[in-house]
Amino acid sequence: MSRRSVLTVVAIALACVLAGAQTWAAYDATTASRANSVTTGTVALADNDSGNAMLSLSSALPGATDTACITVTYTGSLASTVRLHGTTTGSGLDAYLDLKITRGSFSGAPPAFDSCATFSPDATDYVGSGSGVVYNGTLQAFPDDYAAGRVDPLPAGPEAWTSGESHVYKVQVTLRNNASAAGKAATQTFTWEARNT
Amino acid sequence: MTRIRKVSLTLLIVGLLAIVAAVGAFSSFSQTTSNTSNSFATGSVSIGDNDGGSAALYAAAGQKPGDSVVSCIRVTYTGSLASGVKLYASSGITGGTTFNLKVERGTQTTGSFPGCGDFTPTSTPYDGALTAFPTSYAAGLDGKAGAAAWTTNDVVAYRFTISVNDDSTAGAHTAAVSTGSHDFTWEARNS
Repeated sequence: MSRRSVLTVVAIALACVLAGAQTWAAYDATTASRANSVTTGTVALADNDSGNAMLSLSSALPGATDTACITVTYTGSLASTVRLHGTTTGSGLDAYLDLKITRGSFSGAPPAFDSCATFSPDATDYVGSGSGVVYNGTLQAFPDDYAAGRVDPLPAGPEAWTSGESHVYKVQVTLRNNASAAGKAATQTFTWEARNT
Repeated sequence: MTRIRKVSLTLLIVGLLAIVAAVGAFSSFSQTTSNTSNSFATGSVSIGDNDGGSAALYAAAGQKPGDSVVSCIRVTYTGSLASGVKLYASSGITGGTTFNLKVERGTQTTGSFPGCGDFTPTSTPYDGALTAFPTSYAAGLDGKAGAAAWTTNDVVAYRFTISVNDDSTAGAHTAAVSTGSHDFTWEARNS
């Protein structure tokens, strides 16, 4: 027997002893619950602005107005409610800007962003300011966060958005006739936030 | 004496000797005593549950914060040797901090798997992120409070509550989050 063979035999013998030691140390038995799993649903909301602003007033005079339409689409699997809110920066012009947001749909083929051609408001007068209107007040009073956000389309009757649902929002700002607005500026972000119900 | 007579006489002597020898054998008394039925057998380690062998405690999709799945399983020890039992999960569970698992020990006399019937909790060995659940015997949860030994026909019921944690991070759930498929194992080793 060569030296290598002897070593191999010794190694195998040792391995057997070690394996034996493990096997003999304890008896072992198991029982199991198999293939458990949980998966969440999804909440996903998007718009068609491709990252572009939809409203702009510059060197505006009293009565100046701008209108834009944006389509918001829900693709989550869980039913959600949506609230509108947004943050404001600038030097205080928001107190002199009237904001009116109307929910509706396009009656024909959707026009290019941010056109409101073929926009048709919802028939329901949600907040007593006309068909489809969901907010009518100053930009300053428009809520800043989700907690205070405007429930779509109204707090007493929140809509459960389901996958594939979309609505068009017509957003209009108008500068009030107030001398105090002179020389001021404002920048606003509009947010539609969906949270599952 | 002729040669034939000599041989015959020799045979006769041998025959006599044989008779004497035979008589000798029968003249001796013999007695034995025995201690019978000695045996050596190993003890056993055996454990089972009431899930029918393959059923899951939970298999749910489309879950949202506040949703939970509650299931119970009864584990029975049938080995003859006292054993320690540990509970652990298979590795590779996903989902980060999205899912919370609570495991309670208790007693249960009614209800069939995965129902909880009259489950009454006695202790809570785990309540935390599913992904942090132990995945080995060494790190496993004690089958009984205080790692008490299991003896023949001991039964412990376990209530599993898996829930989805709240997460209002914007855009965090535009895609589904899954735990992945995983197993729970109760392993008994004699003590």
